[in-house]
Amino acid sequence: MSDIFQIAGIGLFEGKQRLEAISQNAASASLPGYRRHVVTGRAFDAALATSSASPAQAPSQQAPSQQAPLQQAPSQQVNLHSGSMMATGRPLDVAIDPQDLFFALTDGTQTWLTRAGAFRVGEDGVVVGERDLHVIGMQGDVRLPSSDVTVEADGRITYQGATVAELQLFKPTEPSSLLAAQGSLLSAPSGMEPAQKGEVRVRGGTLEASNTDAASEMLELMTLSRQFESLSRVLQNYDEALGRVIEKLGEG
Amino acid sequence: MLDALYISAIGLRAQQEQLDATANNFANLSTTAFKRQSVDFAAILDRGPALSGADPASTTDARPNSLQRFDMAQGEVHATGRALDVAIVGSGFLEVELADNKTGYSRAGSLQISADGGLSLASGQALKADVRIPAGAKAVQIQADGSVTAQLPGESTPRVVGQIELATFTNAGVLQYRGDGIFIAPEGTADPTRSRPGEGGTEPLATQSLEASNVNMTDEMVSMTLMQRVYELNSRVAQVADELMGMANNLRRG
Repeated sequence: MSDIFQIAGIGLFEGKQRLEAISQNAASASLPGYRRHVVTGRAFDAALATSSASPAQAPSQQAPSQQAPLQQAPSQQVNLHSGSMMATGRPLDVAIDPQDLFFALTDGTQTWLTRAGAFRVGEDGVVVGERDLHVIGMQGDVRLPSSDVTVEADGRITYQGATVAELQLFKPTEPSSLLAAQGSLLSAPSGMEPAQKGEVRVRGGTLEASNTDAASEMLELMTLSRQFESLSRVLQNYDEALGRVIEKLGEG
Repeated sequence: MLDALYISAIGLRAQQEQLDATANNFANLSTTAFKRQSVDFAAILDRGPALSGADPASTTDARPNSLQRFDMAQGEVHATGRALDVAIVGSGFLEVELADNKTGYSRAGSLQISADGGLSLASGQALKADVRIPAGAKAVQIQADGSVTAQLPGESTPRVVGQIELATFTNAGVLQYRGDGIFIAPEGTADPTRSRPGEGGTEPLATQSLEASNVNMTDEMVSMTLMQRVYELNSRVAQVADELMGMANNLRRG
């Protein structure tokens, strides 16, 4: 009997996750390089199977994400379409042309990928990106003698005509497995590899905009609120029906 | 659903802060050597709650977020014909003495002669440059190499009475704005290198000219239009989050 409660519960919970992704996308609509979050809906029977069956009985062919218990957040996948290019004129604003390449930022232990190229020169002349994470160049950290530099199309950074550093781009081994981290950062659980020399094409003085798109967010919002409404209606009706059954049984 | 509401609130606040910066840019459209401000969205969004299950970098995050960014791009240089107007081309700042004994850095080169014979900015702060203009001097001029010349009474040729130097930072991005066109260097910033204009990587001064503000009206208008729409989108999301919360609360009727 309680299956219907459970089914509706799964629906409501996923609705909440989707709403959070939408609000995150809307809030980040002006964040350069942001990739919109997409909550991957789990196949309904899979969700039901994992929530009602014990883990030992779960079919082995299920993907790891589908074995997650009900109350664990479904993974935030990302939509990797490019955003539009905005000319900013700031020398250290860098946009990547090829859609499948990324900058890599590191805090020394962990590395994230990002399309956000709003860099600046931090302490000791090291180029940093979002959250002051170090940008990975051809020779580790990118160090610049000045912030008044030019970024060439092949990733070289020149200062007064001489090459002082070179940016490195990375390609995730499995683009579809990229997960949303904070802000415009993405984590690549399956690893990444450096891009080939000829593949690197960047534009200085340009930023890539967020790929949040108001129309799709609103559409998502509409379907979400209707779905939520119908689920809550199902729950209410079922609850009433249960109430009537109990009443009837009590009469006899 | 509370998370969704909070996130929307941060989105709204981020747009408000950007609007403040844009308003300030518009107000300074014709301020000499004004540098346009923008807001670091990533830093604002970082102050908000973390997304559940996706919080990699927050543990490393002990630094204060710098929210304002300055676009140090060169403003247009236009001739004014005034002998004491100088425009800095390329990188570099004029060093000035601030009231609290700190050093300020400015590019607003509309200079004037102060009561003690030195040079000062139009806003009154004295230049740190070593310039002594004797009383009665005429035809005070600033040359492209930063030297200040004046015609002293009883002499036939102008003589050099001082030298203006430019201070350049390896990383001008760390400077903080203090108002009145003056930046200050935060604690711990490496000292700037001082050199005569035209030496040490600096360009000669543009004499009898001023640097205009680098605010671009069309860019600001476009960003304002975007801001308005993104604000709208965020408020709509907040509205729907509220509706859904209402629905959830009313699940059990009667």
